[in-house]
Amino acid sequence: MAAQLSREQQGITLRGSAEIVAEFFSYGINSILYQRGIYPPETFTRVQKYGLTLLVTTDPELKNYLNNVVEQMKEWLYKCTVQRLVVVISSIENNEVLERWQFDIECDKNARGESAPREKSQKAIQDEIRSVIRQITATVTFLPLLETAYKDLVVPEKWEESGPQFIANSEEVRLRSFTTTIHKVNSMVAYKKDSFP
Amino acid sequence: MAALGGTESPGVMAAPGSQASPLLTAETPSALERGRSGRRSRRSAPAALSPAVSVVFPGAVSRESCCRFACELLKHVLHQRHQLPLPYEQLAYFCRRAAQDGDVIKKPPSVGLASKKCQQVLVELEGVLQHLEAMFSLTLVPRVLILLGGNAVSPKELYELNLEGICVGSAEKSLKTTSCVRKLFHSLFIADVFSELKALPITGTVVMLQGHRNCGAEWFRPKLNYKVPTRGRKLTINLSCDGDVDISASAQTVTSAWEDYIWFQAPVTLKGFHE
Repeated sequence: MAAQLSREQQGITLRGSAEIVAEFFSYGINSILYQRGIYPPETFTRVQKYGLTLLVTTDPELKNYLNNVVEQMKEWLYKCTVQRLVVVISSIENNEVLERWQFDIECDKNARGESAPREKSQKAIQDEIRSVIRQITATVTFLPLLETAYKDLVVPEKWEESGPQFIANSEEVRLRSFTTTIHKVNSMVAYKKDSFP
Repeated sequence: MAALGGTESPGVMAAPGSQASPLLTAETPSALERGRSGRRSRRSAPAALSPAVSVVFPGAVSRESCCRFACELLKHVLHQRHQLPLPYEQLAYFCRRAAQDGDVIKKPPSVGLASKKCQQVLVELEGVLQHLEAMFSLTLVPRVLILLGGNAVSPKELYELNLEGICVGSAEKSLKTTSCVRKLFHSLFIADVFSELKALPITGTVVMLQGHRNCGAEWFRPKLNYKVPTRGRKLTINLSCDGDVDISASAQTVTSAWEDYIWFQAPVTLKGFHE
């Protein structure tokens, strides 16, 4: 609480911005995993964040994996070296990419040399993030049903090299963006084109 | 819908944070609304323009689909406007689990998903949804209103589902309900109608709909003199059918006696809750 109050009073630093964005990815990925039925709902618990009730995993292995991802992202965000985070949902049967959540990150590298924090309130950033999280929830109302959930809940061990994992014949919708003034995150989801009337 | 690739700019979608969208238009009250109760209304000051989302289905739509549109929209509005902490189905799941196993999140008995308040809200909402279903089986429903805050005459927010343009067909000759519902919510998502709105405190939600005066509705109460409010924030969702519609489908727009359709109000006011 003291650290948050201090951040609220002092504005946004590069370190603080990296933490905010990494935290968003933590909750955002948890939301995707829950909303898209990738893991069973009974493995999630409710928490309050951004003025919302959010679902986060209680699975120890998955928690550990996501914590590692978030910590690594925090470091890359601080260094302004990460440009995009993609959450790929693919079929267990044939590895076909079914859904692709893409988070594009813009970093103002001028912030690396700045001593003074930038002026933007935590509340304003939180409001923007809340809108994005709400949109993640809202996508469930129209995204195709995923049949691939719950099987062989194996958590990957580490980062490894990968291609872009694009979806053949896809539709895309863009979600709202948010910015800390140092990092800006643009979100979108791509999914297999299917039977809308 | 536009299929996008690479880093191209969006096609038919709202840019993040933008106020306007190709699917979001402004409209004035309909002729039906102006000519309520079969008489021409007096000339009054022009109503303020309100945003609208239009969805066109390429074929007939069943009555079941129309009912689903109304029910899903009600659930969606309640969550998006902060009256429910989770979407309805997810809330029902956690509420049932909390009631059976005790809530994992320890809270005072008055709040939380095991609370009587949560149970009450879910029971009331389930009741409204069931009665909506019954109503849609009794009569064609050209319009549904979801009124948040204030009262039915002067709400804070008004969501109007306009089904006048729907061609109602049999289940066999109509588009699939799930596909139509997805198309509706895809359009709402692209129009991004909720993100710019300030959070609403917990308030009452009233549901109203139009039906035939002789439909035999028992739960919904007729409101003969009701007029759709012109104040308050309003969003109209216009649904219609186009394309190769089977001629046996009875178009709601062909129905001749709109004067026989009156407003009905749900006898319960849904009150949301925060966790």
